[in-house]
Amino acid sequence: MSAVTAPYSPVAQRIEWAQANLFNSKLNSLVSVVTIAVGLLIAFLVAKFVLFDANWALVSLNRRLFFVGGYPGEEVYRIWIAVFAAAVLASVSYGIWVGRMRPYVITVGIIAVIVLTFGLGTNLYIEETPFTQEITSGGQTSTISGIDRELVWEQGWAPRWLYAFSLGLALPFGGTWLIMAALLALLVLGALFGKHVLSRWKSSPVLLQSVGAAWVLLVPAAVLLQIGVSINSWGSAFLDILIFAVGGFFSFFIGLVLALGRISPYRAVRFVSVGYIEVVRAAPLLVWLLFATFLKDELGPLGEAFSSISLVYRVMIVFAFFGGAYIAEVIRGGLQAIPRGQYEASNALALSSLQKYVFIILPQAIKAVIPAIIGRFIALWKDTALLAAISLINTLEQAKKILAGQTDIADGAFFEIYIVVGLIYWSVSYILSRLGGAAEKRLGVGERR
Amino acid sequence: MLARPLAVAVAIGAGIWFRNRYRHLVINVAVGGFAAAFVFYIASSVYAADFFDFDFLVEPYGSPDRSSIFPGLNVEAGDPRWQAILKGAGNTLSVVVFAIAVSTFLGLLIGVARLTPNPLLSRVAKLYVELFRNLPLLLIMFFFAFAMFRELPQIQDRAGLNGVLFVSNRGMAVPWVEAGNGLWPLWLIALAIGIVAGVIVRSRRMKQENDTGQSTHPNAWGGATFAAVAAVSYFALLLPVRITLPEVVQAASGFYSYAGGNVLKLGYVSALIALSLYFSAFIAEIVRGSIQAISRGQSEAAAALGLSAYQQLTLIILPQALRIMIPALNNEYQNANKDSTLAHAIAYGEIVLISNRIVNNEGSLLQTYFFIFVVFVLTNLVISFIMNTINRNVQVK
Repeated sequence: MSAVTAPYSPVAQRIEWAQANLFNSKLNSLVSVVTIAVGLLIAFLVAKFVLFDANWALVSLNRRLFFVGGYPGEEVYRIWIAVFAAAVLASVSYGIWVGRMRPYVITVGIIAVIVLTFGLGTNLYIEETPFTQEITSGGQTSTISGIDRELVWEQGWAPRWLYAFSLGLALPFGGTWLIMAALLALLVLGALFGKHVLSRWKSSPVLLQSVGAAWVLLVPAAVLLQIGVSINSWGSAFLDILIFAVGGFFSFFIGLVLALGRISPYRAVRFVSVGYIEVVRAAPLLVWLLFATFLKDELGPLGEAFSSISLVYRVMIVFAFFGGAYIAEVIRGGLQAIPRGQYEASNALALSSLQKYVFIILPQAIKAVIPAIIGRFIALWKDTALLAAISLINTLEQAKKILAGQTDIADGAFFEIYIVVGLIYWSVSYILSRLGGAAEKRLGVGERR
Repeated sequence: MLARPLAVAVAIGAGIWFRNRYRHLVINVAVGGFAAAFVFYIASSVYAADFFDFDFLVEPYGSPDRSSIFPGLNVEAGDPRWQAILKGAGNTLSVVVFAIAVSTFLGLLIGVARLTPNPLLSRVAKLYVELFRNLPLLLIMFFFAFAMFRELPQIQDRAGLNGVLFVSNRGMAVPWVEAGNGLWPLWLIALAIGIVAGVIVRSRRMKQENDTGQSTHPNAWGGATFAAVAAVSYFALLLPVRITLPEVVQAASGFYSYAGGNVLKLGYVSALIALSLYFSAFIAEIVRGSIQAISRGQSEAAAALGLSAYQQLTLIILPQALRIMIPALNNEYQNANKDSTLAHAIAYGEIVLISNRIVNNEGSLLQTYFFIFVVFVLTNLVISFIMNTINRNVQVK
């Protein structure tokens, strides 16, 4: 009967796929239809809000506050240097170890097009006009003077939301179009360089170690760059990232020491490590943060010394020690997964305790738990939102301040502001979680079963 | 001339050091001594800071806090401070317990949805998980408390289901139970007896079903037993509780307020929604992982026995997945308990918020934070105990 078969066509293939997967039974068809309907409704509502109902002016106006807060304008180059260094490292690493250039270049290209075309020729600012007004009441005339604030869009051809979006991407740190174009170009060139030049030595440990060392050095370098800038001007996403980076950096080493302490042959060391880990994990992070905020002279000279340093540093210390207790448990899991034979073999080779751990045990143990460690880093990153609860001005608190301070310009743009703050937090943790997923796949961690 | 005795001393020292027993002794004494010194330092400075002076606890709390869902847990100005802290702990529990229940339910649904053969549904479930897992909990709370609920109508608009439920920017008014007569504690005891009786009847029927192979409807029998005990005792105790419905009333001064029922404050509702959404994403991942860890042969065998997809899930897959799930759930519930402290940033009167007011007024930082610490250690121990008990009961014996 089927003498003539239809020629191969992607459309027919898709229909066939849908029939096989979405509409293969009554129940499944119902589920599909309901899912599609609800999905379309939500997509419609979101699109309607983003394109038409939302007022993105407040986001555009405050894009700088979102990213660097009250950082002095002439010092912002310090942040740009760190951003450029991170961009070079990230793109080169991507080129070497991932190397799928097409989706990468397309993503960067779309961002470039949005940034460089839509944003140009458009301007948004607040016009402040002083006014004086005479009021006559009860026979007496008095003058009131003040400043009228009005929002001015000098709009190009692009719709406002796209404009706000492009500005948000383009000028987060008060940079210029030139800086942004250079950054985007660097992202592509670095990846190309990594893929076509460096990836030849992919299997050489020297390349891996030097790129890894560069990543590890990035955190102290970025912090050292801040010498000379007042701590009080650190704010918003910059503060979040700084506290996350410094806290995460030290928490790894603290966790490593504690994990080794937990399996130490010396009873006292084991006891101290276990006691520390259990006490720290018993109370919520917020309670530790509040304790560090309120502490004055209650704990003698040590407490006084602690309370005399700046709150930002105190928070970094709390993050490092709190994160360390959790990372210790993760690394302990890795250590327990190492077969006994590895210990016995290194003993048979007459390696010293130090050699045994540095060359045999730890490399295997840490490799096995890299995805879990990244999971702890994601939690630490999300925990930086808690700074809003202890009167440090992070991204979340900055959003609240923006909303409180500019009611006259954008009345009630609450959703817009919180959506942008959510995007900032979400994108960092999403990138980290993808990184964890990739590490899991590459290291074959979850594939034992 | 000094070189020789020094060399001898070093040699003896090394000899002692490399003999395991002495090295252990030295290191244990050194580290233990350091730890003991640290603990002694903390203890003495804590003692010097009047840690054992608990007089401030009996003074009145000062300012009222009415953000609790249980009217009895609202902190009044005249309450002694120790009672205020206990009420704060009660408020923490009253959000944590419901958040755990809701997030477990949602997490089960979404975790199962992620594994359905329908690619659309599983992708929507994945989107949900990726959305809420990667957002900070505090941001979700702020979103509901400061953005979402600002848009709520005013009380005089009487929005909601008239007579049952009202929603306004002052909170959600819902039906509530109140004591009908003084016998209500007896009825609670009767309900507990009913639960025990129901469980006994259910396990009897279950055993019968397992022995004979005949269907005995154990769940229906257990439920019916409980319902019968509850209903009989309800009438025997002369209607010990009754339900009150909320209404919007206007006072002579023109001021609107809620009467009857109970008003769930926005701080509580935001905290509950945020905790539920956030932790349901994590629980969904736990559920997915546990189900995936069950061998494929189990569902194939169940299908071969002619069980429906629902029966396969509830009778074969989930009971086995539960064994893998419970330790991870235990961890997540303890996290939910600890993370409920974030609700203090949206003005829900949980233990940290209540305690901070005492610290601000009195400066009794160490004592007050020690109480918070103890409360979290105890509640986490209780969660751990419950989950470990469940774990023991579901493991293969």
